[in-house]
Amino acid sequence: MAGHRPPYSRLALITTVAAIVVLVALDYLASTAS
Amino acid sequence: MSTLAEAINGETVRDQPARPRVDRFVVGVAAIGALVLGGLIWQVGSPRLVWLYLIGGGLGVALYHAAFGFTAGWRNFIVRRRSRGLRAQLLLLSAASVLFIPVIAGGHANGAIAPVGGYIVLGSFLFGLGMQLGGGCGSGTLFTVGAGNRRMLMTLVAFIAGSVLGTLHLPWWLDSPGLGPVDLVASLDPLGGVLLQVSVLLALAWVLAAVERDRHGNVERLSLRPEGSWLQTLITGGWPLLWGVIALAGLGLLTLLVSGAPWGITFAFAIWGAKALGALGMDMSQFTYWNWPYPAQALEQSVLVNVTSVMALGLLFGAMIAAGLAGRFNAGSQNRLGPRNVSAAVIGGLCMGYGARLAFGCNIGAFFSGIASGSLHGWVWFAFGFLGSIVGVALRPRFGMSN
Repeated sequence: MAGHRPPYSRLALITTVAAIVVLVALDYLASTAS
Repeated sequence: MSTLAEAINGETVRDQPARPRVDRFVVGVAAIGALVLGGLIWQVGSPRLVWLYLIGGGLGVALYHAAFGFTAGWRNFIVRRRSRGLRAQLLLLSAASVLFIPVIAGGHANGAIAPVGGYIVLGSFLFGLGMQLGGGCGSGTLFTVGAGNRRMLMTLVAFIAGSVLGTLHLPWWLDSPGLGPVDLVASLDPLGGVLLQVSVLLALAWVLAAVERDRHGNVERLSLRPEGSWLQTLITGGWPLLWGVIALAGLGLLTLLVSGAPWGITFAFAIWGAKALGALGMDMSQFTYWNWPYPAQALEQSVLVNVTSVMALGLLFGAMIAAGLAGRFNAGSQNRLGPRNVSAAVIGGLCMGYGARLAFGCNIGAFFSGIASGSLHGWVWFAFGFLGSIVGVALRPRFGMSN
């Protein structure tokens, strides 16, 4: 029997992962500009 | 058509423990994010940093799959006198001492050696208190956030804020009297240092087991044997604690060899917070700490070339992938968050962040890496962090948190 899988928002997951990558990329761009 | 066989099978199936179902969506999204970030590190940094990112990922998987929480292990002993988690930590420290000290003594890497003073005492006490209110330590906060726990995200944000506050005050604290760095390995010799540390750690584990036996009449075992099949457990989690000990000690050694310094976490939080304030327009160079060479360089450079940040990001994604493999992503967010619970997360995070800066690290940078390097500050951290945890455990019910 498969275990119960807790509910979560797929949109929130994608947004969070994308936000981490974008923030890191922006930080890189800021470090090259300075 | 319902048959007797189906009914019997149904009963049989219901009696079996639920097997986790891999959540391909979580694993896929996390893997894509991890790959993109890994690609950026490869482009901007170096292969060495990519290795450290992967090691961080491995640490995230190990922490999540073994549920290797320092906080709960301490609380279980304080409240119930169950010592399994704490004994696993002492075993980890013993293994790490055996692995780290010869490497450091041989000049192949630097140890986590820090001065001993009132700031270590206060910092570790605050950290120990904070980790009980926050619900996780340095590594615990990061891996539970990766696993989708929204309360721990609040703890992490407060942790970052507390870290930055700690950096503003640290120069003042360091002016107070102290012993300076005490390197137990340099004071003895590598073999003597390893023998002394391992003897003390194992003796402590024996005492903890004796206390547990006295209270319960038995001692919970640290087993190597998983409940399910070895391969399935390896991939989908539920690792015996000893697997966590082996993985963390091995990956800790790899970190030491590849980066040239032991594993640390919370300096990354200080950088992230300082960068966020800088982006909001605050001039961080007005603060003494951020003029010191290493912090100033880390603040100016991209997080993609900072070892601690790269490993922390790897850990976050490693834990996310592990939670997806276990089919348990977001499992920690199913309870409603009330104001008292949120307050505890914020206070706990602030205490941990501030405390970690004063104490030269968290349960990883100071407790694990400090003791494994043979630094006295790691032992002082352990003693006062534990005292702080006793107070934190006593405070938890006031915030509606069960023990």
